[in-house]
Amino acid sequence: MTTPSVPLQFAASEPAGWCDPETGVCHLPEDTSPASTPVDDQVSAS
Amino acid sequence: MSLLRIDTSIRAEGSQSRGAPVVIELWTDLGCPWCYVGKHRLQRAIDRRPDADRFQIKLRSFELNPDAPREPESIESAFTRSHGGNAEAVLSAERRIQGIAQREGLAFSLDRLNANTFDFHRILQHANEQGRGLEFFSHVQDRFFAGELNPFDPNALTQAAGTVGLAVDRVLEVMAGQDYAEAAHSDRREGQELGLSGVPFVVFDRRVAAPGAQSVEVYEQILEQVAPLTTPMGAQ
Repeated sequence: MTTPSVPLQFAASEPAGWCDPETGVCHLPEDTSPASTPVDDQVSAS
Repeated sequence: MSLLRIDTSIRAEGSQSRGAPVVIELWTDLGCPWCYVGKHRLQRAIDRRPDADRFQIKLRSFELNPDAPREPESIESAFTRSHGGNAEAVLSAERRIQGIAQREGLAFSLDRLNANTFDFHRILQHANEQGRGLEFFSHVQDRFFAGELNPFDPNALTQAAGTVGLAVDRVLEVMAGQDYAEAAHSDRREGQELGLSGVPFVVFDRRVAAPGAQSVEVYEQILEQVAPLTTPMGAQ
């Protein structure tokens, strides 16, 4: 039986925290505040 | 906007009609902090709606690090062993996520362990089959991040499964063998086929995908898109 298909829409989104299966690194969302941690530090282990 | 042709057979029966059930699939892993934060944000967005009970969250397995050792180690040890660098950078990032989580009312311990989660995912698949997937996952993950449960201790995990109503004998049987291994692998493949490049990854009614831990407001907007509470002017 064939099933109908529809396009999957990727929602317009804000910067979001996420974890990367390729590297095992979890990324913080972009932070523009002056006191933000340097980009290199914006990672965490999963 | 990215478009991808997908199978719609996962949709809840009758999901095109007003008030009908809507399936929300959440690809996630146990120890991923953004999966923890994102699931609570998604749940909060659902809970804000008067028709909250029509939404069904279905947990889908995504093992972030299949090569993680079975023996638990601290988060900073796991990260520095696999990526180098220093533990303080990892803890600094952890503290920032901790601050975000705590501002949202979520407990967040920095003393969590890290290990392979494949056995956990096999039990999650069993829990899904028993209609207890969301309860099992939430119970274990909430207590794990609160520092109250070591999910890599088979006895503790079995006890947690029993707490949410799963038959302990069957859980022990699953843990001892390889049942549900293919189901867990299949979830991972399907997520990647849908465009998943990280977790959490949420698919609403097989129509809209939201990567990462979005804000409650973004999740609310997507819920309104897939299940409108308001009828546009002029519509019947």
